[in-house]
Amino acid sequence: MLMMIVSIIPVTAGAKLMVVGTLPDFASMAEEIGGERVSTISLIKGTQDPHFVDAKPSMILEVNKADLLICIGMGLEDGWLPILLSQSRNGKVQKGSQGFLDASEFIQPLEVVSNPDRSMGDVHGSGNPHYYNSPVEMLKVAEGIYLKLKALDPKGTAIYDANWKRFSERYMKKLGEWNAVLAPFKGTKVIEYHKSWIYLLDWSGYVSAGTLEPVPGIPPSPGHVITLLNTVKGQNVKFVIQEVYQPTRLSNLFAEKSGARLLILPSMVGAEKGIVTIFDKFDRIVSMLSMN
Amino acid sequence: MEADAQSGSDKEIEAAISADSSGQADKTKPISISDVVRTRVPVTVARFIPDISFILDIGFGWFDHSDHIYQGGHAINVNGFKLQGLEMAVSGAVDPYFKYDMNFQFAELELEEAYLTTVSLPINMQIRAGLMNAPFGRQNPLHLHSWSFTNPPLIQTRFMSEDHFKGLGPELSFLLPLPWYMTVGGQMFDTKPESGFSSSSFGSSEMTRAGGIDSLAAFVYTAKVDNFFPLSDDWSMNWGLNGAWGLSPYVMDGRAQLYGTDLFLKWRPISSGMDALAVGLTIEYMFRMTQVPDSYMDDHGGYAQLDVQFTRRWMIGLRGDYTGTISGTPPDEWLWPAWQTRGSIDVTFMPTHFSKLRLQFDLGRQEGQDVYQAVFLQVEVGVGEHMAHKF
Repeated sequence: MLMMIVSIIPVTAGAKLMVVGTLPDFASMAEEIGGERVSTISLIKGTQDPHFVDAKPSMILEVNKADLLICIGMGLEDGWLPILLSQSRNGKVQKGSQGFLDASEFIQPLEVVSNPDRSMGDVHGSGNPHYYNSPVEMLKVAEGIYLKLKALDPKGTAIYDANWKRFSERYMKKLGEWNAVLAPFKGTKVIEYHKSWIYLLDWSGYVSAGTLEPVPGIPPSPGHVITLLNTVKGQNVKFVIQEVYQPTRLSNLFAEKSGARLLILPSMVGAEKGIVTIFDKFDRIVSMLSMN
Repeated sequence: MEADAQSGSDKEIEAAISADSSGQADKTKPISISDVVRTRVPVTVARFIPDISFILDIGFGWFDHSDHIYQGGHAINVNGFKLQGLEMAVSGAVDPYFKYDMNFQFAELELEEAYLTTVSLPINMQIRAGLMNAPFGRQNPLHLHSWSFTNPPLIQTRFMSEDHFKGLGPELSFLLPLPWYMTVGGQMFDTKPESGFSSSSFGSSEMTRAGGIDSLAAFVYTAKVDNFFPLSDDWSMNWGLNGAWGLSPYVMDGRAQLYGTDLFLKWRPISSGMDALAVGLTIEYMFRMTQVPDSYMDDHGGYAQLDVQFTRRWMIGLRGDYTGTISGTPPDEWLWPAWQTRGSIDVTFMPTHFSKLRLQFDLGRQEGQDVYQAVFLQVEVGVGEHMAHKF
């Protein structure tokens, strides 16, 4: 009975909604949309690989205090998030509760595998989970965050509506600018380190000519790099793209031999100094992809 | 009085619902990206199947002579191959109030753990109930697939059990309202042999003159205080204090006490994007006082272990172990040698998160023996759901 009451009592006047995002992007967007009504925390840093996160007890403390937990979903956090949830003692943010938001519910998944098995590498049956690299998908997630904040904190509706209007108008304007900058380069071929850029490529019109990992999650080998070099010969691959936490030795080798340029793109807010908002992140990605 | 409490609760719920509804005045939908981009969200059919995984561990060991430290349990104890473990782990939500976990060890046809955990209770309380490994120290709660070596530290066998110090009963813990993570908790274990009770330090209920559980003194009690300090983005420290009290295994209605402390220090440079690299230092120490025939015996032991992960796939481990008697005469010198020491080094290759190959070298000695050398090779594979790892 006590648990039921705790789960439906809305945020009281004056108390900020505590929003915890597994990804810094979620925390950043919640802060822009929630404004003075929310406090936000990201469980991981923008420089971390979200596949391999230590479930530190300090994170349990943060989830314990959360009114809203926003996660990537699609199995990406399976190695660490469940233990934080089970140890948090917080019924408000358990899976299925009002305060649990799986951001992947709002996106159009790509690479859905009907019969996944691990011989294919680290694949996820419900689709590729790296949708946070697409500005279109992240705007859908932002809208989902906005609607959830209103549901959890109806007294803040006017503020959320005003902030969402401002955020979404700015976002739509920026989306137009990003599209305009990248439009002339549609069809540009890139090599990905890990298959984590599919949503970005789908939006931008850039084309993946292959991945350095032979299958997802298996590190590249010199043999595979040589095979890939032969495969892409003559295709005018312009960039090798990867995250900040991935090793660069073989990426540099491939880039040098193929004439491509290695770009370490910020896959998350906080991946580089100066990338503090979702706008900073996609500004930087677009700027790097449009380099000559 | 009960009716008053009930109507009071109903009024609270009605008030909460009214407050919730009054905020939903404006149903106008503001700008939505879904007006611009059509989205089809695939429909998935829910199947209420828990998370299930199977983990297989096969080992090979070779000792340079047969007179060596014997650990029992999952450890490789004689020359040749060993099916160290075939574990089935099952985990799932029971309902909004409970979670279920179970681990069965097919290699020994033994139920390792099976317990429920509450999801959310007032004052940050949590209750577990069932057959559980005692959360005593850092090694005892770990299952074989989480070990850093092919064998456990010496204090595990001497003070915990050949496998795990565990029992059937309840556990109550609290997450304290402090700026850092601190939990305090305790367990109460049934000590009947048929209840799954397992311990190197405490006697079963057969060690009572009544021949069974005839008082609260026949149970085993544990207590734990656990602290975590995030020293920086890259440095973390965990410190625990543990205690356990129960029957002596050697004197009818005699008593035994066990105390321990553990420290875990980890460096992982996440702030510089090098989070594949990690260095962890684990130190554990245990001290025991046991009533033995006509006397008391005190003994202790500890280990220090360094785990260095160079890349996502490669890890090296170094460990030094010691156990010894402080005072008193061991009632069973074979089980409790006056002293034991061992040094271990291993290298682990993890092709993926679901497979592991390990090569380990041990140099050890105990009272009455010459130095021995041993080499071990272990392979581990797992299928099924990827279970979350504790820190």
